[in-house]
Amino acid sequence: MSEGTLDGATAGLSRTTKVRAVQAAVLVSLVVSVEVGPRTGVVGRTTLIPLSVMVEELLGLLGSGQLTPHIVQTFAAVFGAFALAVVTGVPAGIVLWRVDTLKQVLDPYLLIYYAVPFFAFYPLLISILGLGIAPILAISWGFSVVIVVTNTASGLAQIPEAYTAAGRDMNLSRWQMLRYVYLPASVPYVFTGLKLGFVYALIGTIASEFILAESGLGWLISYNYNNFDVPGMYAAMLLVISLALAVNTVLARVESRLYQRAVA
Amino acid sequence: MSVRAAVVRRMDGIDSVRVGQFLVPVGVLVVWQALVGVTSGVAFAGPAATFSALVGGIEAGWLATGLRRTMTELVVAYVLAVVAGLWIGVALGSSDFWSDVFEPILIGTYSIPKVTLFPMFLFVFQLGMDSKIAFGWFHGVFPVAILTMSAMTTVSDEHLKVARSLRLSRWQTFREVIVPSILPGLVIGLRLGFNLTFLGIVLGEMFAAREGLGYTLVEFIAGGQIDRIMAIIVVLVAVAAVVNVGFFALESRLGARERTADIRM
Repeated sequence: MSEGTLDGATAGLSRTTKVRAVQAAVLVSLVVSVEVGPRTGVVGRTTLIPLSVMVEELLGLLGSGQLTPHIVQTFAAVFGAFALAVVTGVPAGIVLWRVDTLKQVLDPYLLIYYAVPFFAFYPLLISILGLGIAPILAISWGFSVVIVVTNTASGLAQIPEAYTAAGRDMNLSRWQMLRYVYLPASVPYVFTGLKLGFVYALIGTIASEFILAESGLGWLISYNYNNFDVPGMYAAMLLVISLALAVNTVLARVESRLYQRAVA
Repeated sequence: MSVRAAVVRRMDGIDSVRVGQFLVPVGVLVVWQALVGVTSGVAFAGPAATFSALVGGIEAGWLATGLRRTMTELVVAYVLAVVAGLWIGVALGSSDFWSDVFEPILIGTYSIPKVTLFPMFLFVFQLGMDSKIAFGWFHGVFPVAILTMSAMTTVSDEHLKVARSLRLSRWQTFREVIVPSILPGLVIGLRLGFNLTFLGIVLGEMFAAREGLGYTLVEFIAGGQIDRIMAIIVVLVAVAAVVNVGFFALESRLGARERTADIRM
C-alpha cells in the first residue's frame, strides 16, 4: 500500500515535469515560428514580421515616447471603467444576493446579457456622447459590470453556513455581519468577479478603440493597419497582448493565493 | 416565522418572479421611452421611431440584405467552429496527458483581446466574407474546444472498454459513447461558442467590411441616423435572444446545471 502511494507520487511528479516540458516546447516552437516563418519566407513579410523586428520596433517606439499618450489614454479608460464597474457592481451584487426574488427575476436576463454582440452599442454611444473617452468608458463599464454583479452575488451565496451561524450566535448586527462575516468570507469569490471585470474592461476598451477612436493602443493598431505601417502595427499588437497576458497571470496568481487562504 | 408564513412567502415568491420576469422588458421599454423625453434636443430615437426605422429598413431592403450577409457569415463560421472545436476537444480530451498540456494554453489564448489580431486575418483572407468568417471562427472555436475537453472527463473508461470490445469504429464510438456522455457540458460550449462567433462576426464587420449589419452600424454614425442604428441593435439582440433561449431549453432538458455567463474574447 505504502509502496503503491510512493510509486504514484514519483510518477505524478515526473508527469508534472513532463507536462511542463511539453508546454514549454509548444510555446517555444510558437515563438520560434513567428521569428523563423517570416525570415525564411514561409510567411510573406507583408503578412507577418519576425518577432525580433516587432520587439525592436516596440522598444524604439517606447523609447521615443511616441506610445506614451496612447498608453495613458488606454490605461485611463480601462481603470476608469473598471473603477466604475466595481463601485456600481459590488453594491448591486450585494442587493441581488439579499433580495432573492430580484435575483430570480433577473437571472435569465443576466445570462443573456453577454450573448448580445455588445459592441453593436458602441456606434449608438458615439452618436449620443460624441467621439472621445466617454463612449469608451460607457461601453467598457457596461461590458465589465455585469460579471462583477453576478460573481459578487453568487460569491456571497457560497459562504459556509457555519460562518453565518457563528456570527448570529455572537448577536452581530446586520451591519456587523456584513462587515465581519460576509465580506471577508466572500473575498476570493468576489475577487474572481473583479478579475474577470478587469479583463473585460481591458477588452472593451481595446476593442472600441480599435473600431473607432482618436487615440489609444487599440486605435494605434487600426491606424497603423490603415496606413500600411506593418512594423508599427505589430509593435502595438505585441504590447497589447503582452499587457493582457501579464495582467491575466498576475490576477490569476492573486486569485489562487486567496482561495488557498480561504481553505486554510 | 411560522411554517404557514414561510409557505405563503414562497408562493408569493414564485408568482412575483414570473410577473417580474415579464415586467423586465416592459420596464426597458418604459425607460427607453422616458429617455426620449430627457434627451430632447440630443439625437436619440425612442421605441416608436426605432420600430418605424425597422419596418422601413425591411421594406427598403438594406436591413434584410445586411442581415442575410451577417447570418451567412455567422452560420458558416459557427459550423466550422463547432466541427473544429469538437475535434480538438475530443482529440485532446481523450488523453489525460495532452489535456493537461493544452488546457492552460487554450485558456490563456482565450483570454487575450482577440480583436487586436484582426488585421492578420485581413492580410490573409482579404476584405471579403472570408476574413469575417475566419475571425468569427477564431472567436467561437475556443469555448467549444475547452468545454468539450473538460466534458471528456465525464466519459467513463468502462464505456470505452465496452466500445473497444464491441469493435466499434472510431466514428461509432464517437457517436454512440462519447457524444451522449459529454452532451450536458457540450451544449454550454455550443452556446458560448455561438455567442462569441456572433461577436467576432459583428466586430469584424464593424472594422473592415462593405456589407453586413456591423458595417451598416458604423456607416450610420456619420449620418447620425440613430433610429436606424437602434433598429440594427434590436435585430442583433433578437437573434441572440432567440438562439440563447433555445439553448437554455436544451440545457435544462439535458440537465446541464452549471450556467456560466463568462465569455472572453
